[in-house]
Amino acid sequence: MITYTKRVVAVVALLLWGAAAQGAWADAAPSFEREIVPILRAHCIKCHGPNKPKAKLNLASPRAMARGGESGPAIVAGRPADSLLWDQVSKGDMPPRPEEPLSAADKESLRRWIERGALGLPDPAQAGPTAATWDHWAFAPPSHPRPPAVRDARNPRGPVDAFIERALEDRGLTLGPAAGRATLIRRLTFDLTGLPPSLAEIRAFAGDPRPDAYRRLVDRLLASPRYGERWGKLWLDASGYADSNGYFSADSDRALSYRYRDYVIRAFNTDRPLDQIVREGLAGDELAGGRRGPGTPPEVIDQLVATHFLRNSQDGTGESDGNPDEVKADKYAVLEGTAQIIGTSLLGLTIQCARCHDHKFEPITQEDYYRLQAILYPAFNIEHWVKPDERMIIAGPAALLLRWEAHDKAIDAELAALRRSFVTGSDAQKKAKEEVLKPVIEKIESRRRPNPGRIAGVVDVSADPPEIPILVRGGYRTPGRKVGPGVPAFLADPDNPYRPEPRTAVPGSSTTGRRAALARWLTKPGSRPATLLARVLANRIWQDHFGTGIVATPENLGYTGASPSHPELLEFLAAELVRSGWSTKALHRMIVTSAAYRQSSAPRALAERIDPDNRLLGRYPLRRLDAESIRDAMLVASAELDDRPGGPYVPTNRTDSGEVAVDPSTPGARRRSVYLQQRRTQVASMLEVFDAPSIVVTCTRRQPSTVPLQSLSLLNSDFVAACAARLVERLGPERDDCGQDDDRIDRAFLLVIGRTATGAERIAAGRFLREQPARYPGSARPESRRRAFIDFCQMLLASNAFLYIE
Amino acid sequence: MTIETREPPDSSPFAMNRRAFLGQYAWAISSLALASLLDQERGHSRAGEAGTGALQSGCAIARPRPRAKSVICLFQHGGPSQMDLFDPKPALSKYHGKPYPGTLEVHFDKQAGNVLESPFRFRPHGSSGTVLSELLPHIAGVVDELTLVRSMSTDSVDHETALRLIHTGKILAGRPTLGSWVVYGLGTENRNLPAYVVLGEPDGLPVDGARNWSSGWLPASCQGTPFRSGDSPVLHLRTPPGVTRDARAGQLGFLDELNRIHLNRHPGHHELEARIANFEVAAAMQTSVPEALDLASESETTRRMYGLDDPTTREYGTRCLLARRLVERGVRFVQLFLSSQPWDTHDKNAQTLRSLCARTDKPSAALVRDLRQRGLLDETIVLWTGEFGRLPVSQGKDGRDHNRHGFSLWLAGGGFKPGYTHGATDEFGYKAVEKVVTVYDLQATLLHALGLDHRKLAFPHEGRLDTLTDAEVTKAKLVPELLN
Repeated sequence: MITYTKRVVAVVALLLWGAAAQGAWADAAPSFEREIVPILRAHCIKCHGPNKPKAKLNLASPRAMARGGESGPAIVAGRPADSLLWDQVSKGDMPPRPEEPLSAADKESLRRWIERGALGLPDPAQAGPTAATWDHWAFAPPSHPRPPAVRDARNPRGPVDAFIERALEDRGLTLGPAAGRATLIRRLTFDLTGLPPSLAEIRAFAGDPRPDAYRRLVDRLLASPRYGERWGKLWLDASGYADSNGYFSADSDRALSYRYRDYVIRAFNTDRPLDQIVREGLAGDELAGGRRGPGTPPEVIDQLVATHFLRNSQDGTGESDGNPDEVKADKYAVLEGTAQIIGTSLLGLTIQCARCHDHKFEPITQEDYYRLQAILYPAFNIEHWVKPDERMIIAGPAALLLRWEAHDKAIDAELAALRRSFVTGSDAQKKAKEEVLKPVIEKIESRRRPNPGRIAGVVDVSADPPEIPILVRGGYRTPGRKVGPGVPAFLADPDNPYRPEPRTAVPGSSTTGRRAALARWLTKPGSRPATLLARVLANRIWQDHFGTGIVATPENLGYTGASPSHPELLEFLAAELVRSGWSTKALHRMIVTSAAYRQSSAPRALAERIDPDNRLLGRYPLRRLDAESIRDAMLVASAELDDRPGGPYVPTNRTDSGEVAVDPSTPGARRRSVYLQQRRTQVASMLEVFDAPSIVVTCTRRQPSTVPLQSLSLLNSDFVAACAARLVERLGPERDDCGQDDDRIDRAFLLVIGRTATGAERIAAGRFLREQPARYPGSARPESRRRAFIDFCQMLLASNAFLYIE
Repeated sequence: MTIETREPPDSSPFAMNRRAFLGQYAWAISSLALASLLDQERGHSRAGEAGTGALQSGCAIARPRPRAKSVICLFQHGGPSQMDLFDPKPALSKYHGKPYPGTLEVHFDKQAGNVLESPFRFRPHGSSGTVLSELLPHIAGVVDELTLVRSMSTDSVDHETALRLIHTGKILAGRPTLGSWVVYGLGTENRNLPAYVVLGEPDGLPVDGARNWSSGWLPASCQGTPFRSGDSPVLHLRTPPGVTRDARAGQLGFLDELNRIHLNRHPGHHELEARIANFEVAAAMQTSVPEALDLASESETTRRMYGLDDPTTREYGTRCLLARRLVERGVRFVQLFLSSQPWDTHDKNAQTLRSLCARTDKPSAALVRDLRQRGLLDETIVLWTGEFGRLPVSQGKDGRDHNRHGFSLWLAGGGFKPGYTHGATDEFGYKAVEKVVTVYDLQATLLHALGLDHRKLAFPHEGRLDTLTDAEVTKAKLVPELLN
C-alpha cells in the first residue's frame, strides 16, 4: 500500500510538472485562456468587467477587449508600445490599488502576449460597437453553425461527430474504434434508463443482424417508462427538488411534493417540450387561466402541479419563530432560494451574487435581481405570507372531488347529529358528556381523508405592491429604491419585451401575469434568452451522457464559467434542440447515435499524452454508475426491483447505528431510488455515500468521489449482502461440488456485469470458489460452498467492472 | 514540489480540473492538495533565520513555523451565557430587577424583562488572575493555559444561521465548515482514520445536524465523519457476523484480482487505482478505528481525570478522552457536539448552566491538562465556543435570550497565548466593545495558527475562488494578539 501511495503521489507530481512544463514551452506566446485571462480576472475586471466598466473598457470578454474602451483600442496586436493596456500597466498606473500589484512575471506575460499577436482576440473590425450586450458568447443570439469538414472522410458520420472529429484532428488525434455490442448495450441502457439490460435484451441485441439494430435499441430505451425515472431525476436535482422544507433543523415534510416529481417523470417520458416544462414551472397557474376546482382537465392539473418548481426552495416559514425581523428574513430566504434555482437551472447564471450589490463579474445589476424578485413577489408576498402547508390549490376530476366532498360532509353531519343528541344540559353536564364522547368523535374524525385534489402549487396571493424595494446590501431592514418586475437588462431586446398581462377574468383567481410574461420572454423562439436557455439545457444533457459538459460548469455559463471545450458543437446542439421543438429525446438520439458516443473507452497512447483529461473525447469516458443506478442495479441483479411508478415517497428512517435506510419490510422498500424519501437531512446512506445530493439549493452536476466509506458499504452493508445472497439463488443448481462452476460463474457475470467472464476472470473466480469454502471452517460443506458463492457474488457487486460503465 | 494554491477558476477547458482530480481520492491524497501554503511557509521559515523569517504568505505578522497540527473543537450548541461563566459584570447586580438603561436587540421581543444578575460568584484564578465563575472550578485549574476571548461578536441571532456563520462563514446552508477547510488544506497524517471526526452525543444530533460538519462544495473527502458510540462507530465498519477473518481476506484477495484484471484494460486510470487502494484503507480502518476508540489501555488516573468514574461526567469525559486519542493518532480535526442545543437557556438559565457545567467542566479541563502532560498541547488547538451569547436581561422569569453582539470563548494550545484574556464587553456584558473579534476574525486566526492563509486557502466555486472567510466582504482579519 505504501508503494501504491507513492505511485499516486508520483503521478500527481508528474501531471503537475507537466502542466508547469507546458507553461514553459509556451514561452513564445502565452496562452490567452490559461495565462492572460487569469491575470485579467484577478487584477482588472473588478473595475473593467462586464458591469458598468470603467472607461467603458471591458476586459472580461475577448470581443470587448478587441473593441477597446472610450479611449480607443486597448490592445494593438504585435505592438505593446502602441497598446494603451501595456502603457498603463508598464507605467504602474494600472491596477491602481497598490495592495494588489501585478507581479513582474504577470506583466511580462501580458507584454509578450501582445507582442506575439494577442492571440485569442477576434479581429477588432468584427468586434463591432453595437453588440456590447452580447460580448460573451452565451448571451449572443443563436448562430446556427454548420458542421465542419473533416479530413478523414472515409467514414461519413453525423453532425456531432464532425465537430468532435475536427477538434481531435486539430490536435492530430482521431475518434477511437467502436465499442463492442455487449459494452454498448450496457452503456446505453444505464445511460438512458439508469438500469442494466436484462439477459434477454443483451442476447437479442448481440444477435440482431439488422443494420439498424442500434437505432432500434435507442428507440426501445427512449420509449421505456424507466427513461423518465432517470432523466426526470436529473431535472429534479437541477430544480432543487426535495421532500422536505429544510432551512431549520426540523426539515419538515413536504407530503405532496411527489406529485411534482411524478409530473416531471411523466413529462420526460412523454417528451414534453422542454420550453413547455419551463413555462409550466414558472407560470403553469397563469397559463391555466385560473382554472381549478372540480372538473379541472388533466392537462391543466399538470400545469398547476408544475408550479411546484417555484416551491422547491428551502422554506422554514412553517417553523419560524423569534422576532419579526427574523421571520421576515426567513420569508425572504424563500424568494432568494427560488431566484437562485431559476438562475442556476435555467439561465446558467450566478444571479444570487447580485442580491447585495451589482454582480462583480457578470453584467447583472442589483436592480436586475430585484426586478426578478418582483416577478415572484405577488406569489410570495412578504406582507401576505402563506406558510408552505397552507399554500394549496384544489383541482381534480369532478367525480373524485365530489365523492370526497360528500364523504367529508357526511362526517360533518354525523358529528353534528351526535352533538345535538348528546350535548345538552348545564355547562358542567355538557363538559362531562364531551369527555365521554371524545373517543367516539375521534373515531369518526379518523375516517376523514385528505382532499385528493390538493396540489402544492403556486398562485399569486395579491397584486400589491406593484413595486418592491431593492434591499441595500441585501439587508431586510434597509429597503431602498423601489423597482417593478422586469428581466435582466443585458438580455433585454426590443423585439422581446417583458410585458405582464394581468388577468382578473376568473373570480377569486386574479393574477398579475408577471410569471407568465417571464416564461414567454424566456422561451420566445429565436430570442437571446431562449438561446441561453437552450445552451444551458443542451449542455446539461451532454454532460449527463459524457460525464462532463461541453461547458464544465453547467450551473454557470457566464463570464466566470468554464470555457466550452467545443463551442460550435454546443451552439449546434442548442439550435437543434430548438429546431426539434425542444425535444429532449431528439437530442438524446442525436448524441447517442454519434460515433463519439459509440466509441470504445479503451485508452490509446497518443490521446492519453495529448489530451489526458479526455476533453476532446478521443475515447468514451469510463464513468462510475451514479448512486441511484448502483442501488437499483443491485436490486435488478437480485431480481427484486419493484418497478411500480409514482405515488408518495417510500419513507426512509435512521436506524440505531445511524444508517439512513429503508426498512426492508416497508411496502415499496425495493422500488427505484427516485421514489425513496428525498429528505434534505436524511438521504439514504447507501445513496449518499455514492454522492447522491442532499439538496440545499440545486444540484446540476455531481462530483463522483472515491472514499473508503464506499468500500466499507460494499463489503459490510446488509443491503449488498442480501442482494448477493438472493443473486446466488438465480445462478441455477450446482452440478456437483468438484469445482465445475463455469456455468454459474458466467451466469453471475452476465447478471451483474452484462457479459460472460473473461479467461482471467474465470480462472480467478474458479480458484476463489475452490479455496473460499475452507475459510469457513465451522460450516459443513454445502453451507460453506453456499457462503463462498455469496461472497463471490458480493465481490462482483463491489467490483469496478460492475461500478463502472465502459 | 510547489503547487500554486491560488489558481484561476477553470478558465481553460483543457486545464486540469483540480476539483475533479482531488475530489476523487481518499483523504490521504487530498493533503497534497493544497498544502502549498504550508509548504511555502514552512519552507521559507526554515530557509530564513530560525523563527524570524518573514512569511511569504502575505500574513500580517511574522511567526515562526506554525505549531498547530490539529484542532479539537468542543462545540457548545445553543449560546452559552457569557455573564454567568466567563465575563463577570457587577453592574448586573447593581441594576438587577431594573429596566435595562438602553436599547437591546432581543430575539423574543415580547418576553424581554429587566436586568438579570448572575447568581454565580466569580473570583480570580491562576497566576494570570483570570476571573471565572464558580461553575467552572476545573477550567479554573487550567486557566493559565487558556486564551480567553471576551469580545466575540457574530451577525445572526438565529441558531441555525449563527451556527453556519461560525462554522462556514456565511448564513447560507451548503458551505464547507472550518474542519473541512482545515482538512482540505492540510490533509491527514493517518490515512487509516478519517481526517475529520465528529463525536456527537449518543442522544442525538445537534441543531442543524450534519450541516455542522458538511464539506459543502469542497471534495467529499473533506467532510466530517461522525463516530457513533456502540460497536459500529463508523457506518458498516464491522465485518458481518459469520464472515471469518480468513474469509474476509479471501474476499479482498479475489476482489483485488478482479479489479486488477479490469484495470489492465484501463491502465493508469487514477480513479480505478484509488478505488482499489480504498479497499485496503477500508480494511485497515476496520482495525484502526476500534483501536483508536478502545479506552482499555488508558490508566485509572487518566480515566479519573476525565471523570469516567462519575456518571455525571462519564459520557462527555469519554468523548474528550477519545478526542485526545484521535489527535494522538494523526486525526486533523475532531469536533464534539451536544445533542439539540442545551445552552439555549430561554428559561431556567441558572439551573441549566449548573447541570451543563457539572457534565462538561471537568472533562474539558482534563483534556487540556492531558494534552499538556503528553506534550501534545503545543501542536493541538482546543477551541471551546458556542454560536453566540446571551442577553443581560431576563427572558420570562429566569431565562436569557440570544445575543449576537457579545459572547465569550476560550482556546488553548497550538500557539495561542496562554493565560491571556482578550477584549471586553460593555459594563452589562451585552456588546463587545474592546478589541472586538468577529467569528470571521476567529476563523482567520485559527487557520493562521495552522499555517494556512485565510485569503489564499481557496476553492473554485460559482465562478470565483471562494474562501472560508470571504475577507473582502466580511473584513476578516488576523488577531495577532491571540497568538504567541
